[in-house]
Amino acid sequence: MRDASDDEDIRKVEEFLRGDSKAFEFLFDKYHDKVYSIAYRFVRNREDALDVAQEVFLRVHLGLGSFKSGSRFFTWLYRIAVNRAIDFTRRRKVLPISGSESFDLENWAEDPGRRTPSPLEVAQEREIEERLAEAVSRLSPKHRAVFVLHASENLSYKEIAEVLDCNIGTVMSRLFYARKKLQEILAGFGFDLLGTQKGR
Amino acid sequence: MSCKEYAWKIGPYVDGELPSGERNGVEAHIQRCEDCREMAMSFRALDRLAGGVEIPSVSGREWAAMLEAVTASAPAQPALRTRRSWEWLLPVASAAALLLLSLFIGKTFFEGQQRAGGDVPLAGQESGVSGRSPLADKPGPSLQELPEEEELQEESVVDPRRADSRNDPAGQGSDF
Repeated sequence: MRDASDDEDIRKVEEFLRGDSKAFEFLFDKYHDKVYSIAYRFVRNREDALDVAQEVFLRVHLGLGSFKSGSRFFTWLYRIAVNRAIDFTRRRKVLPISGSESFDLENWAEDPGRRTPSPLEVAQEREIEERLAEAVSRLSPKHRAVFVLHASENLSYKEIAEVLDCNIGTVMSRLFYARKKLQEILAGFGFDLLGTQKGR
Repeated sequence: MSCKEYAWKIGPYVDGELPSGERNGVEAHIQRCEDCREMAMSFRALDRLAGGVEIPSVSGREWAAMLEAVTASAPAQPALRTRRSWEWLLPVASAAALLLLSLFIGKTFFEGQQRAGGDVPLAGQESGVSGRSPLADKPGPSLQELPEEEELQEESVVDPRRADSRNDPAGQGSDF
């Protein structure tokens, strides 16, 4: 179901197609962070993510004429972003990170009101993020796309289904297997999501 | 229901995507099943971790540079873009115009021959149209009527050479 934001997007697309370049700027400003975020979660490198984002907006700029106004603009945009990011990771092998420490993910994750972390804790958090990012990068493109769109971009199952052009059952299935696979990979790194540290 | 059946619903439960009718059942199962409870907790932890991954910031100047690069690489051409929505009509309209033009010319030529009082000359016979048209005395048909009229001519007046040519696929192909 389309909301006011979706309708606004459609109006801007129509304005752009009538020659209003400001309308494209509006869409760019509204979505560049999201596109960059999706790209970054796939390619795990700032400059590469910016390259992907630029490619996405270039395609959008060239392809807005083919956008079907019956669908939602952001799902169309995110689909381009996911596809470009997947293509990028296929073209370039993402480098694995190094590291050897093991941490209590559950405590880190379940404590929203954490005090200001010490430098050591900051370093630990960074490593947890890196490990998770690497684990996500080891998922198949389909599982990765579902997990990134859900867990990182907070899209609903229905929205993910629209972006990936599949049904909600497929989204549920892919998300389930993505999570199970991530648990396995993180366990291989020595991380237990429920707080048990394991030696390596 | 078994744990295996509940396992599929734990993700949607954690994500708030489970229909309210099923939510209570899953909740009750999670209360009494440690494995499913752990699964729900680990899914939740995973999502929080993923959402917390820090994304390096990008300055406004970098975004502006990107926007400029994008618009410079693909300058907006609204006129062309607008045209795309009906561009597919061009070949269709061209073909229709050519067809109508050829029919009109053929008809004019044919009627000219009729007014001259003679049979259609060899050229007309070669084109598969021969003899006096039964419609020769009628006023000129509208463009929409032309195809039907041609069918009538073919059925009502058959030239022997035309009949022979019907056995020749190449000849048929060159009729119009």
